[in-house]
Amino acid sequence: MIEKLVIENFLQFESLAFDLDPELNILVGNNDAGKSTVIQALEMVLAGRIGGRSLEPELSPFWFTQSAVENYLSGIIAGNQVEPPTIVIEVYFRDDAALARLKGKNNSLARDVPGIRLEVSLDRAYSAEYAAYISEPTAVKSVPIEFYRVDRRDFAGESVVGTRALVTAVVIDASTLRLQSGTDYYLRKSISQNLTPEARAKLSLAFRSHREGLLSDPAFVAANAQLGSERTTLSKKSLALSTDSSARASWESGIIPHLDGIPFSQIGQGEQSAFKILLALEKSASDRNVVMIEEPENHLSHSNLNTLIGLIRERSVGQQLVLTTHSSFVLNKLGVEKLRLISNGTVGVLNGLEADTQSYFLRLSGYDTLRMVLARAVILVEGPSDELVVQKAYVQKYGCMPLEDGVDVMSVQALAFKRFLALGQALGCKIAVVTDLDDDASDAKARKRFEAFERDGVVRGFVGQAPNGRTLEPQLVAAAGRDLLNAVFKTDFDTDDLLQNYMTAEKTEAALAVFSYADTIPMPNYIDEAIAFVK
Amino acid sequence: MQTRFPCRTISTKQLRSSSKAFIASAGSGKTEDIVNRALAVPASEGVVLTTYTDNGAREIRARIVLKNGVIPSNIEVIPWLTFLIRHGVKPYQNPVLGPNLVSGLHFERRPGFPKKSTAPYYLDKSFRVYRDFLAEFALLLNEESGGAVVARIAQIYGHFFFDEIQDVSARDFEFLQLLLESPVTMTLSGDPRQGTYSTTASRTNRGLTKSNVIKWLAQMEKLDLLSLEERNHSWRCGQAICDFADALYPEFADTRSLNVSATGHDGVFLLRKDQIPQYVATYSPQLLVWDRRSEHHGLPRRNMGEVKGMTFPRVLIQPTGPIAKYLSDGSVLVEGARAKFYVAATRARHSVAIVLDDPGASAIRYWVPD
Repeated sequence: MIEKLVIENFLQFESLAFDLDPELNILVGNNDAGKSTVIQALEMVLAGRIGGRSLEPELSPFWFTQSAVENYLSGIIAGNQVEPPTIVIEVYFRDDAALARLKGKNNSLARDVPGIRLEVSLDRAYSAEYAAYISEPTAVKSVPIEFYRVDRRDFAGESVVGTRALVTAVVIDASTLRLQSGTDYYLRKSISQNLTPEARAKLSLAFRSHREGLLSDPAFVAANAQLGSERTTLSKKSLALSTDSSARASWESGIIPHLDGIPFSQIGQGEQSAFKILLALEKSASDRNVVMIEEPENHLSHSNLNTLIGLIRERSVGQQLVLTTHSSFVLNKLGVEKLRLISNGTVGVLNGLEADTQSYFLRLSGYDTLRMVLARAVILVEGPSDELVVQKAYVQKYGCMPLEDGVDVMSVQALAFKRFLALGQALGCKIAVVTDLDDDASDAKARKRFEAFERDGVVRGFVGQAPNGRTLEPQLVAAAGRDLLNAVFKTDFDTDDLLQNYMTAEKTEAALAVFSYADTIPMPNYIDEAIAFVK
Repeated sequence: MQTRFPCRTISTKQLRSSSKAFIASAGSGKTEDIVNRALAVPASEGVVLTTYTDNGAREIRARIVLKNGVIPSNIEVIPWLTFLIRHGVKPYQNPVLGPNLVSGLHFERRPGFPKKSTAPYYLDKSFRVYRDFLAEFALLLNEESGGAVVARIAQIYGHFFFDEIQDVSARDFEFLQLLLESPVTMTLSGDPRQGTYSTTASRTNRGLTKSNVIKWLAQMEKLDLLSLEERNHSWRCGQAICDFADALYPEFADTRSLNVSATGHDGVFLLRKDQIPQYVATYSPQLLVWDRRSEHHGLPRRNMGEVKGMTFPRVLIQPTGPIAKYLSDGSVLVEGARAKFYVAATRARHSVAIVLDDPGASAIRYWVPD
């Protein structure tokens, strides 16, 4: 199976070395971080295709990483001798005896393992033309892909084109169902992989003889006789109809799969993608099979998604799966520990997430773990009202919503803090915990919730002073004063106690009023400290 | 011989030595035997059959197809130089050269004398490997990669067959020795008397090439790397033809004919030039000549050097000057001419006729029409 993926100068990745999990890789990241690029790179190097189509016609100057293009162009303008950028994509397989043919050191790490290397580089055959092209530097505006070639070889140095694939790859893109017919290249391939070679050959033969039989059908003969007698072409050559007997007209493209009697293209999109995913994962497929799935959650209802994820877990055993997702549900269900976070052209992995935390998120899969994964820093609070107050504190201090700074304020039950802190620790994410004291005398009880996870500059808990009250409301009264809060709530309470009682009783209303108040409200110290910590 | 052992490990081979070498006379069914052995290997094991010439490889493929209908998926037939490029050089050219630089083979001689162990010593400007230094380069890369070249081959192929081992030259011997020391089961087969080709034009190890390949095989047997077997029989040629051909190589054991058929015109004859039309009309022999410039009497002809592996009922040989001299006074032939004449004579099942008007001291009788 794939142990490592190396990418150079391709789209978002100037230089990437990505160690893959042997079974499951869940790629998460913001839009445009490069999740799909990783899938694309794998498809290109494993299948020699991009989006199911051949590579050469799709070659584009935009494949090259921006920085590489800029270096190249500025070098040309400055009149320097600069090498035109080269894209390299390499997959390194586990050293399996069955893959010995693909073995060798023709890779950028000079490792002696089986693998495939794809290189998009200047074709040496066009050296002279290229030299003429760059002799006028001002005319060079982009990478001159006209002089480029795509070269795909195994690590033994043999061209992979036309050889029998030892490793197969299937891509299912549920985010966009590209082809109108619905039966794309990978669907046809998946179906034919599920047939024995014998059944495949017989089907192919039957399809061809059936087509040939059509030629002798009286209707066909009559039609041809009619066409032949009408001299319509300029050159007076005779015209006749025949069937296409090229490989392009094979049964795979001429036969359309039906699900429960309905043509594949007519069933719902969710069902289509689920069907493709499950077909690609069929047990009979080889164990040297890499299945790539883009956003399986698309077009599916929650309950169908639940079923699909269950089947993916069950059937992916022994195969390598790479999938992208924007859904915390998919992530939690398939296993948070398998996530691969893509950001800024790098891939991050979880380090040592404990098993009980994994199973916690697996069981309570509604938790928005992805928010924590994608945030630069997180403030964990105990409820929606605390969330609003902390946001207000942030806005009035820094002039923008915390999310705009990559800080996510997440409301989590106090009991779940430990789980999120464990996840955050594995992610290396900066976390501030803001929690109530729930005690009149000391902060010891509250500190228990985060103490074990505190690290300088990474994780810190923030609690109020015991004399100022056990929850946020009295702490807020102590900091902002009764008069100001009366103005905020448009109330007229005579004592702090009455004010607190009101705020506690109308928790969300009160918090919303605080959040919406146009002027500054002095905040309890520990909240200001917490937002300063994550800023 | 100066043999290097770049990364010799203790090999299980030295305990069991399942590798074999067959030295066989012309017409003994060498290629047939190799093909049968290759087809007998279980389909789960990788097999490679190699030989120096493209023609030889084609012949092996054709025989497999003839017997099996198709070349089984576990069997590959690759000419030797292609094998060396594909498996000896390409996989481990990096980091010595860089990934995927080697582009093919440079068949002609290398000009000049570049410094040893530098790129120009092995490669031309388009990164094609010089034929004469191909095996040497593969040995270097094997050494640089800690033996990975040979280890990889052993991982892919459980069985390795080399037909026409007498064509091997230069550093090929050392590369083959590394394979013999690896877990690969090797089968080497050839006829030292048919050394009409050479894998290189190099002088290295010249004392082991062509008819002297027997010395190298004996060395390998002494090292317990293979067991050597001689097959001194011919299914093809009649006894008189065997005796005539054997006389060219007195240093080798005599060949016993297993062809017992009699046609009324059997054995070796001299033929006067003016009787050629009558002889051809009677027996329709295949004319064999030295090369395209040779006298051909207006008959369809083939070159002696290019008929290895073929069988004809009767042959007619147009001798060169040195061959005529050998026939008339027993003068020793140079190595290449001796091998080609041996090949030419041993193509015939029944009769060999040689065009010669001046017999000198030759004891061979002239053909007399009935």
